[in-house]
This record gives sequence, C-alpha cells and structure tokens, in this order.
Amino acid sequence: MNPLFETWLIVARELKKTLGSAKGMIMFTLSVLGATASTFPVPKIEEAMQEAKKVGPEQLHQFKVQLFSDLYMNDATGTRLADAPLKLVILFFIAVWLAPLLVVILGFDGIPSDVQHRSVRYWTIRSRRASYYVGKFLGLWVLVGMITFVMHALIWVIIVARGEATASDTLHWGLRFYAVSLPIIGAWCGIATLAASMFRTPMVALLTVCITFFLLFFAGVIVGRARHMEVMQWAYPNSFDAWMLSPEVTHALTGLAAVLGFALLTTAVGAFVFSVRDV
Amino acid sequence: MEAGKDAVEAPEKKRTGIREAAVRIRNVSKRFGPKVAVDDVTLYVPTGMVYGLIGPNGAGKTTTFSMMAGFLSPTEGLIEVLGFPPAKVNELRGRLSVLPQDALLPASDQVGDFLTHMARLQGIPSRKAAGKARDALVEVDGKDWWKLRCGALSHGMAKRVQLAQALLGEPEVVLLDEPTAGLDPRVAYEVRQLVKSRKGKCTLIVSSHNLQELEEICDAAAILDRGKVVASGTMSELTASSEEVHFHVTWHVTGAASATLPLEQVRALPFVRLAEYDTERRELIVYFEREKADAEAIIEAVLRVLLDQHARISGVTKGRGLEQRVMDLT
Repeated sequence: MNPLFETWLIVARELKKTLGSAKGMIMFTLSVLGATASTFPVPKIEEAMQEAKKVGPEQLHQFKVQLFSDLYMNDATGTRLADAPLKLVILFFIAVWLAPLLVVILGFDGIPSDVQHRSVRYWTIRSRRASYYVGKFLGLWVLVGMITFVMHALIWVIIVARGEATASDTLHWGLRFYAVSLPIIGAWCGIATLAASMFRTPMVALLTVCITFFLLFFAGVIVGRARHMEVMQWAYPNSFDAWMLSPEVTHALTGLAAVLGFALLTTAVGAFVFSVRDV
Repeated sequence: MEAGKDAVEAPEKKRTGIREAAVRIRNVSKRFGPKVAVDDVTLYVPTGMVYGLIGPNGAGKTTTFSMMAGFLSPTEGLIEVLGFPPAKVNELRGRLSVLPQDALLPASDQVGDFLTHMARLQGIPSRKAAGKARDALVEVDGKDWWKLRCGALSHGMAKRVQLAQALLGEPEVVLLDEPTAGLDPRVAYEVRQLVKSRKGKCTLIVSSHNLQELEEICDAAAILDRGKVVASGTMSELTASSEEVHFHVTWHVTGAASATLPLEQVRALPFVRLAEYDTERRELIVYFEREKADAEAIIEAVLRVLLDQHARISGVTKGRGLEQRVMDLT
C-alpha cells in the first residue's frame, strides 16, 4: 500500500475521532466564541484612538504604520499591514498567539495515549510506523487549521455584514492572514507531536509540550530581544510571521521555508524515532 | 501428527524443502536494561500449524510474541515471519495479524468503524472493508455490536472484538497472546472453538496459561522458562505420549494373591522398558520402546495383565500430560 494512502487513512480517522469527541467540540466552540468576542471591542478601540489623539483617518493610518512597523520590526511590513482592516490584523495576531495553546490542548495525547494503552499495536501491525506518525501530525495540523479557518471565516462575515470593509478587501487580507497562520500552526504541530511522542503518559507529554513551548517562547521573545542575542528569536516559530507578511517576495518565501522547515524537521526526527523504538 | 514432527526437525526439513517456515526465530535475545527477558531463543514454526508458547509469568512469552509482531526489536538475533522481518509491514500487510495482550481498543471508536478502519489499513478495498469487518464480527458472535463504542464493551466483548480484528481478512499467520485470559468459561470455550475452526487455514501461534487448552488445540509447542526455551516439539513429544502410558488403578482386594502388584509381569511384556507404580497417585507408569510398538498395543497388553489380576482401571493416559511436563521443567 502506498504510504501516502496509509497516511491519509490515519488522518481521516484522526479528524473523525477528534471532531466527534467532547474535547474536539469544546475546543471548536470555545475558539469560535473567543474569536467572535474579540471582534466586538475593535470599533471602540479605533474610536478611542481617534478620540484620544484627536486625529483624522490619515493620522490614524500613520499611527498604524508606526505601530505595525514596531511590532513586526519591519517598515515595509508595517506600511502594508496598515492598509488591512484592523479587525483582521487583530484576529491574525490572536490566532497566531493562540495557535500553540490550541495545538497543546488538541495534540498532546495523540500518540502517548495510544502507546500507553498499547492501542498503537493495532496500527503498527498494519501500517508503517512513519505513516502512523505523519498521520497523527497531519491530522493535528488539519484539525487546528480547520478550527482556525472557521474563526477567520466568522470574522470575515462579521466585518462584511457590519460594512467595516468591502468583501474583496476582507477576502484579500483574510485569506492572506489565514495562509500565513497555517504554516506557523504546522510548525507548532510538528514540535508538539515530536515532544509528546517521546512519552507514554499523556500527562507527562502535556507537561513536556508546555515546557518546550515555553522554552521556545522564552528563547525567541525574551532572550531574542536582548542585544547580540537576536538570533534566538528564530527559535520561536511565531517570529516568522513578520517575514511571511512582508511585501518582499524573498522575505515571505524565506519565512515560509523556515516555518515549514520546523514542521518538516521535527516530523522527520519524530517519525524516525517512532519507527525504531519499542511500542 | 506428522506435521507436528516438523517442529523439532524443522531446520533440517527446511533445508530439504519439505515445509516452509511461517515463523523462524534464531538466537533471539531481548534485554530491558540489565533484565534479560528472552535469552537466546531459537524456534521454528512450520506453516499451517497451531503452535503454543507455554511458560509461567515472566517466562518471556509475551516478549517473544511482541518481537514476532514487530512491537519490540530483538536486542540480538533474527526473526522472520513468512520470510520477512516483522518490521516489513508492507510485505506482511494482511498476512500477519495479532491479538496483543492488554492492548486496549480505542474507547471512543465505534466497533464497526474501528474494524472497518483496520480492514482498510490491511489493504482491503473500501467497497469490501465494511463487509469483511461485519464477517469478522459475526465470527466472534458480535454482529449486534457494530454501533457500540469500544469503551462501552465488557471485558469478554472487548476480547472478542480484539479477536475479530486479528481474524480480519485471511491472515496467514495469527498470533494470539492469551486469547482466553479473563474470560468466563463459556466465552473461553467459544473462543477456543473459534481458534479450532481456523486450524489448517492458517498458522496460529497461541500463548496461554491454560495448559489443558493448549494441549487441546496445539499441534506443537515450546516451553519457556526465565527467557529460555526449555523444551519444544510436538504435543506428543512434549507429553511423551509416544513412550509412556499411565494406568490409574485401584485394586479390588479379594484375596492375597489378587492384591499382588503384577509389576514383573508388566515388565516382562514385549517392548516394555520399565514399569513402576506410584502408590500415592495409584498410578502404574509403563515406559516402552516407541520405535518398536505403538502405545495402543502396549495399553492392550498391560490391560490384559491388570484385568487378570482383578485390578479396577479408572483411567488410561498416554504420556504425562502437558501440565505435569511443564511443572517438571519450570
């Protein structure tokens, strides 16, 4: 049997299993509700900004350019994002920051619980272990990607319905933001699947994934901001969003390659280790 | 029983091409840190045989099983199933199946979905997978369980679903690790009948603590103790049924002469090597030359002598019984 088909069978089961489970449905509902709730304060923020600064739309735009340039440490990216509907930028920001959390909650027990209860043996007798591992990783990625997409799509509808942006603008920016968040989610899924798969006990796996994510956050966001330690920021997959949002194609592709590299490398290592270990 | 003899003479017969190996284990050891779970085990299981793995807890049965199924890698040695290392999943897909001990079914899956998914992974086309899954479920008498969640099954039902996944399709080698453990007598009986019904259709390797069960269904077996094979061969060889007969005797004392133990007369019978009487068990054990006489001829001759002496015979057993043999060896 083709390993791709084998992997597809496992991905399909993972999706069916998780979406049909209480955990999957609760996470799905919470994510969607959270995303919806996050959109309501945005018009007030814009009004408050204009009120406080007594500025017109032009100055507000300039303020956004400055804000996003500082946030993403890139002037071209900042200028570009200032044109996007603020609500979408905020949603993107939230989606990227929440991605690790969603990945941890949905993915920490994918492999460990099967290994702990030895259920994995029903699979390893019938499928290549690498296919099983990749299936688990892809299943998680697709699942988190689906939940994130629903979050995004809901906001698009709200924005268009309220007349806060045109449908074409909303789709143009919305799809772009979603496309950028997807590989970042993939990187987190790769790291989570690798860290979790090293353990037989789901709670130990959960703890390990949380610690790993925190260490990456600490290295990328805290240490990476220190002088001469800038290189550390690339240990944190979310750091690459600035690259992928850049209007410069080379930057965008480099960011994309780096994030996919995270996903590919962690999955290759995980699949290899899983293939040779005892289950 | 001719097939069973191959279990002992297998390496030689394999060279002469008489019977192919379903499973070949050569000098296999498995260590977990300092603990040696399996120590230099060599086994040969010919195709079509029902082969038992016997031994006390900690003997290495499940570890050996797990290595045959590819769950564990041997620390040393070579294992081949149908000519391939167990890790070659693609080559063994649908040909090797296993009922692992203590492997829980995925609790949230429906039985039907689980079996259909397993069938698909086994390479059964999607249009046939559900049908094959239903067939397997019917075979374990669980046709009404299709929509039940695996987590809601009782122990006996779960065991039978596990057995159903092991019997999916037409596997050539089926590994059954403790198939009747924890089952009530009725379900255990049904499982035994199911295993028997597969006899001759595939190679079955069964581990169990129930020695009577193994004696009943196996053609050959290996006895393991502390990770080593302490004996292997056909059931008749293991129980020595071809060279030893036990007579359970009570003397009907009607007079001094009739109460005399006819040991000398039995010993004088043709082809009898030795005869002894176990007073505690009230058992006369007769050893004979199996190359020259069969057990039935010896039984007939000894019975004549005993009946002449007015003995009351409550039973005749060929060999020592597997249980006794295992007790002797482990």
